[in-house]
Amino acid sequence: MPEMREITIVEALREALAEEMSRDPTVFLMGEDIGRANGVFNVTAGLQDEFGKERVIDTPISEAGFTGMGVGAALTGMRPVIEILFCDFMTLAMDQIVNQAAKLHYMTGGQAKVPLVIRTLMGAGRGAAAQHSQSLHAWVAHIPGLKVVMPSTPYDAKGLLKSAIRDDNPVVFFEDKMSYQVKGLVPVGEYTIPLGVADVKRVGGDVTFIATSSMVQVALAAAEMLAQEGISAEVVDPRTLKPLDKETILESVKKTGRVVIIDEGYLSYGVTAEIAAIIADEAFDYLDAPVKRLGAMDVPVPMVPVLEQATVPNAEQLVTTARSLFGRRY
Amino acid sequence: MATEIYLPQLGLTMTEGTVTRWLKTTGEKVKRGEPVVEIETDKVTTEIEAPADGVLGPILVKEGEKAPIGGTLSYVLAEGETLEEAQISRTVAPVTSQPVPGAAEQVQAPPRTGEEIFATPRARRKAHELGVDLTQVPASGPGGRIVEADVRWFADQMSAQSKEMPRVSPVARRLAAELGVDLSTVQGTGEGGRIRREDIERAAAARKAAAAPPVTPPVLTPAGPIEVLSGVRRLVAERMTRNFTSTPHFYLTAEVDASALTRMRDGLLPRIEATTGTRLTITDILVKVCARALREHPEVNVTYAETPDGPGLIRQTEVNVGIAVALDDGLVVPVIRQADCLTLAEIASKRAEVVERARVGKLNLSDLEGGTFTLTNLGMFGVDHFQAIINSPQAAILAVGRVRERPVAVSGTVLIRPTLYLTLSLDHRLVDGAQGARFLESLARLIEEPYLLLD
Repeated sequence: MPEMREITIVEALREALAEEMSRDPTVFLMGEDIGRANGVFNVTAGLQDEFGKERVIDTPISEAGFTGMGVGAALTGMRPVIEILFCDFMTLAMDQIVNQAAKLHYMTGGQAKVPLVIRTLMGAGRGAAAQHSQSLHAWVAHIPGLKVVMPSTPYDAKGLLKSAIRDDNPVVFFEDKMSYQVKGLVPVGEYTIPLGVADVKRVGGDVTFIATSSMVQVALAAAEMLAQEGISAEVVDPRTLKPLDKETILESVKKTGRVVIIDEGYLSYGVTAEIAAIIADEAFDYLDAPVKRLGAMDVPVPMVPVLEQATVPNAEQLVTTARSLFGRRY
Repeated sequence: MATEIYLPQLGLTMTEGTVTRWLKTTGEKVKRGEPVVEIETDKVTTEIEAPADGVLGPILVKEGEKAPIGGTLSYVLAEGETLEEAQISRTVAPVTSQPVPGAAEQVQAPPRTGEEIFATPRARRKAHELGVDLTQVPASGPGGRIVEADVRWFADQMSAQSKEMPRVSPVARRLAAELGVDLSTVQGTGEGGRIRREDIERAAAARKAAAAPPVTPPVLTPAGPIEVLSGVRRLVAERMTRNFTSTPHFYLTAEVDASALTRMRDGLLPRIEATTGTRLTITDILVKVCARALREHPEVNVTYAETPDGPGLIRQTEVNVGIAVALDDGLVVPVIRQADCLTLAEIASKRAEVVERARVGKLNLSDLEGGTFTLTNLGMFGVDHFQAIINSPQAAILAVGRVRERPVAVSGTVLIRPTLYLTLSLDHRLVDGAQGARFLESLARLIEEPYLLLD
């Protein structure tokens, strides 16, 4: 066992950025308020002092512009890590992300590559209202040529961000704003986590919860509640949506025969639907109950806290949904 | 939201239950966990608790009517909720037919036809794998779906049944097909439980009698209509036939001097009555004697088990002695668990308590399970000696007659002594004559010299 210590996701991300910048001089950061202001959520705190203004660049409010600069820099051999503060603002840079970053490697017949990382924030919970609270990862997961990462723990956040930076493809890296202070054990030394490997966060035998990012904690809480009733839930965290570790998901579903997929994106046409479809297709004969999904309510996220909470899945809802998959016990 | 009150499965042999008494009336408030209805099965009478807080909905199975396992008996409704809303929630459960108040037959799980089966893909896959016909499988899943556990359970039942399924003579098979008799419901009376022509004819007649009672006396029974056995009587009939026909019995009898036994009982009786309020019986002491002898002879404290590789036996670690108790319409065998570890006072009070509950039909399944040996005493009816049918899968049963003064030859002279006859029935698959004889000898010694219980 390597030496471990307990740190937050914010600290884990900062370590990943600092380590990769020390390791590789082509890595640099760009974004709004990431330098002098230390980052709105403190992720980049101290990095401008450590690496200088040339490598930690404060940009104007200009998502389309600095995302395009990131694509360009990546094409010339740099490894930019740009920050789009809220994923709601990806809308402004969508052409750069979808039509440029995702396509160029393919359209140049493999001659060019875009090793760009876009860090961005998702999730409701801060009363930040409809334009700052969405979880739009399904949009980019829909696009071939982009990788999509959604860590849920400090360990995963650090290991996955380092892999994302070293990856030669454009990677959109979603950070949940409510999870930033989640603590967890992280090794002291160097490690990476490959993209496309799911993690079983809790082992169980009766029902599988497939949970992403913010919903992993919800799934773990629900599993704990169900354990009191004698229902043993397994929690699978895919960690990356693209590539998606189908094997681990299917293996768990084949074992338990029951599955609830939980993700903070909107329910309709979302991540949960994609995973449900894969299960229906490839594990149909192993299902002992309908595949259930929980996602954000199909409404603009309200600002008022009680209403906002009502739109996001919680542990009680997950428990009720899971219970509905069990009939009468003999 | 309406919460269904349904008939749970209380034991492996249970297929249906009868509502004996509603403890609450429609519209009455109920609390979660509060008993609402009393149910009688072939083995026990038990209460079903309210699954939620609310008021009791319409009663769908009236007192005296039967329901299958899982059958809806009523609902717990929220205050102000009507049955219509409850019925709407029922439409997602296609297996049970629409509950129509008062019509018990409507609540019976109907034989499902092909297109009406709702089974999960996993259940279908398992059914295919195990060769199970899904139309026969009871559903326990949400919305009345058949789930994998149902298929597994059903397959287990089938394999247990098929092992016990007696052979059928060719004539009987043909006749059964002609008369439309289901062979699995017929009790064979031929050698080794083989179903013979007469059995089919009897089953067909019984079915006819049951289908249209009262009937004109059938040809076979000019004395009166056939009464189809039910409840405990039927269970006893089926069990005894199976036990007696499938278990190779042999019997060992000994007459023992009961002087010390009766003296011991007379001496302890006032003492135990004073502390426990229970009158010590000869049976109580014999329970202790049996338990002690079984500890000394673990080879008798075994049960029979079928295995895929043939006959097997299980060496029981506990000594649990069942006592046969006569009821008005049958017999039950409540078990005194770990009788070897109990004092006579404890045995007496435990025995008095279970026998009383047996007589009023309040035994739980747990009272009847786990026996490793059975004691049956007909002494109080003036029986001298008799041979009992083994309570399979146990290996032996002890039949005890009355204590009576009898002439006994002692050292060349005839003396009058209180004696009793012990008759052991043993399963020859598990125990041989000499082993049985040594066990009987220990029993006899402990009865004649009961102070040995103290060593």
